[in-house]
Amino acid sequence: MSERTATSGSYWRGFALPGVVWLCLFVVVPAYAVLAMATGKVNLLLTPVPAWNPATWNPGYLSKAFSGSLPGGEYWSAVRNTLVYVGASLLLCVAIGYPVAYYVARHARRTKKLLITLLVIPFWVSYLLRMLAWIGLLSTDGYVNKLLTDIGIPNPPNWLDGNAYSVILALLYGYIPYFILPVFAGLDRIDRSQIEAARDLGATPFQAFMRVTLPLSRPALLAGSALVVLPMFGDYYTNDLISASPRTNMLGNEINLFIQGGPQKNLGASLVIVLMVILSIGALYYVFQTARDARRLA
Amino acid sequence: MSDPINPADRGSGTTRRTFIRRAATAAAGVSVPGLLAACGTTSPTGGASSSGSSTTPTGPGGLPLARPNHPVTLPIYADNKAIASGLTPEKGPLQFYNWDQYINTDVVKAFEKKYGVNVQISTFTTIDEAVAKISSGTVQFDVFVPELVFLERLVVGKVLQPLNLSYIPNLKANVWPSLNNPWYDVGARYTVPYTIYTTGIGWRADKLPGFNPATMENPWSALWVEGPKISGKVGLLDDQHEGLAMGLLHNGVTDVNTEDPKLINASKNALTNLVNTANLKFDTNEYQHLADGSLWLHQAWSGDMASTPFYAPKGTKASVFRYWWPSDGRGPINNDTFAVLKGAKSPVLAHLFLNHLLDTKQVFNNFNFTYYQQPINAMTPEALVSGGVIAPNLKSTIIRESQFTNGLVQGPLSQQGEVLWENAWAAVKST
Repeated sequence: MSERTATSGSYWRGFALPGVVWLCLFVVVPAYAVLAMATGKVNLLLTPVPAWNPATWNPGYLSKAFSGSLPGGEYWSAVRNTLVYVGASLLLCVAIGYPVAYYVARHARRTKKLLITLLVIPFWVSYLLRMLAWIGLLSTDGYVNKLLTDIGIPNPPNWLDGNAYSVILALLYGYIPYFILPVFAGLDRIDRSQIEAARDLGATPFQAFMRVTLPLSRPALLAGSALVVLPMFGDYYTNDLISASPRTNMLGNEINLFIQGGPQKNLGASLVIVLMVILSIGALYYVFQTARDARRLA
Repeated sequence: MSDPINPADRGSGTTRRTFIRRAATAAAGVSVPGLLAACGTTSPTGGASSSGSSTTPTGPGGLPLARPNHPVTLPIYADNKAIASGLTPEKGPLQFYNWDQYINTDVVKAFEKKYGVNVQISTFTTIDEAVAKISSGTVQFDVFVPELVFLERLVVGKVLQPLNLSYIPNLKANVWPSLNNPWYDVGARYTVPYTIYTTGIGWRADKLPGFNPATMENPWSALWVEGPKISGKVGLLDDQHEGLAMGLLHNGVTDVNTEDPKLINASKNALTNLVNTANLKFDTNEYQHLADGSLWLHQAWSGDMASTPFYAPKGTKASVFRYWWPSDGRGPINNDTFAVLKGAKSPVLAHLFLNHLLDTKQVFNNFNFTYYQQPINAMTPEALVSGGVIAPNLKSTIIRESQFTNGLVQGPLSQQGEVLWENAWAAVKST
C-alpha cells in the first residue's frame, strides 16, 4: 500500500517538472543573469560582460544603486515617484475596477457577456497605441479639454505639462483591464449561497459584502493588484509620452537611461536589482496572504 | 530633381535621430547580450598617430581621442587588411545595417538595379544595440553606419575593415575636401562620411514674435532667457551629449568635449535650473512638437528642422518655422559615417555601395527623404532652396564647408569622461 502511494506521489510530482524547468529557464537564469550583469563590467565596445562566477563579482555598481535609491540619494526621486505613482494608480484601480468587476459578476445578467467583451476589447489595441491616442485626447486643444470647456469649466488643465496626475491617470488607464478581469473571475466564483446565508442570518447587504464577499474576493484582489503593479513598476514609456519632464522621472526611466547606451550598463542592471528587491517585498506579502487565505478557506 | 517625399509619409513618420532615444527596450528587463570577451588588441602595423600634442587624452582603445586639432590616423592591423583592388563584385545579397528610416529606399533600389543584386536592410534603434549585435558574431552585415564617438572602439575592436578607396572614386570627386581626409579618420582608412548635422535652436516665429537668438548677447542662453516666459513650451533634445553641450554653451564654454567635472557640473546645474524655471520637456521629436505647436522653442537638429513643415497641420504655414545656428559655424556639429564591417560576406559590393551613396544624384535623392545634408560639393543651401526642396526660412539648416570646419565637433570621450557625462545627464533627467 505504502509503495503504491510513493509511486503515485512521484507520478504526480512529475507533472510539476515542465513548470520547474520553465521557472529555471525563464525566471531563475534570467534573474541570475541580471545579477551577473550588475556585478560585471563593459568591454571595449561598451557591451556588458556579465560576471557569472560570484568570485569575480564587482559590487561597486550594486552598492551605488542601492545607496542612491535611499532618501537623499541620486535615484531617490525616481524611486519615490515610482512608489507614489504606482501606489496611487493601484488605489484608483481598486476604487474604479472593483465596483466594475462587482457589477459585471453580480448584477449584469443578460449583458454580462457583452460587458466582458467590452472589458477585453482594450487588449486588442497595443499599449503604445493607446498611450499615443491619449496624447491626442489630452492635448491643450484636444477632445478632453473641449469637453471640459463645453460643460463650463473655464480653464481646463494642461494635461501634458509634465504633471504627476497625468502619469498616474495614464498608468491607471493602461493597466486597469488587467486588474478588472481577475477580480471579476474571483467575484464570479463566489458561491451565492454563502451571501444568502449571511443575509438570512441578519446581515445587512453592506455587512454581507464586508464579511463575506470582500474576504472571499481577497485572493482575486491580490492577483489583480500583482498583475498591474508588476508592469507599472518597470514602466517608463507612459511617462516618456505623457510627461517627458524629468520631474516625473520613474525608476524605469532611470534604468532605461543607463541600459540604452553608455559605459554604465552594469549600473542599469543594478537598478533592476533594486526594482526586484522592492517588488519582492510586495511579492512576499502576496505569497503570505494567499497562503493564509488558502488555509482559511480550506 | 524629383519631388520631395513628405517625411510624414515615411511610414512611422520619424527620422533617424529620433530613434536614438526611442528604443523600445523592456524597461525592467535586461537581455543577456552576446558574451563577448573584451577585445584583445594586437600591435598595429600602421600604428595610431596623432599630429597633436602628447597631452591628448587617450580613448578607451588606447588611441588618442580624435579632435579637429588632433587628427587621428586609425591603425591598420596585420590580421585586418583592406580588400585588393579590381575584384569582381559578389552576387550579394548586400546586408546593410542602418538606423531606422535613415535612407531613401529609392537610392537603394537604384543600386540594386545598377548591379543586379539585392540589398537587405536591417535596422537598429540604438548604436549600443547595433554594436552588441555585430560583435556577437550572430549576424553578419556588410555595411554599417558608425557614429564618430564609437569609431575608435570599433577600429580597435576590429569590427570594421579598412577601405580600399580605389572602389570609391566619388569620395574624392564629390565630397568636401575636409571630409576626404577627416580629422577622425585621416586618409579615410575606415570610413566615408554620411550626413552632417548641426544642433541649434528651433522656434515658432508666430508664437514668439520678435524672438531671435541671433540678436541676443549669448544666443545659446535663449532657452534660459525666453524659457521662463513661456514655461511648459520649451524642449531640449533628450540626448546627453546635445543636452549637456547646450548647458556648456550657455555657460560660455565652447569645449563641448570637456572632461572637467566642474564645467560638466555647472552645465548640469544650468539645465536643472531650466527644468524648474521653464518646465523643460525632453524628447527627440522636436519637428513634431514645433509643427503641432505643443512646444514653441526647442533645441533642434538641422535635418529635423528642415523637415518640420511637412509635419505641420493644415493652416500652419512653412514660414513660421525658424532655425538658428551660428553663421560663423561656432556651434555643435557632427557627422555620421559609412563603413564596411570586417565580417562582410560581400566586401566588394559593399565598397561599391559606399561609392553609390556618394553619387551626387543619389545624395539629392536621399535628401528628399532624410532631410539631412550630405557633405557633397553640389549640395549648397542655395541649391536646395532654389530647387524648392527646403523652405527659404530654413536655409540655415544647410551649411557650407567653411562653417563645418569651424564647428564645435562632438568627438569621442575617455571612458571616465563618458561616465562623468552620463551621471550628470542622469541627474538632470531626475530633477
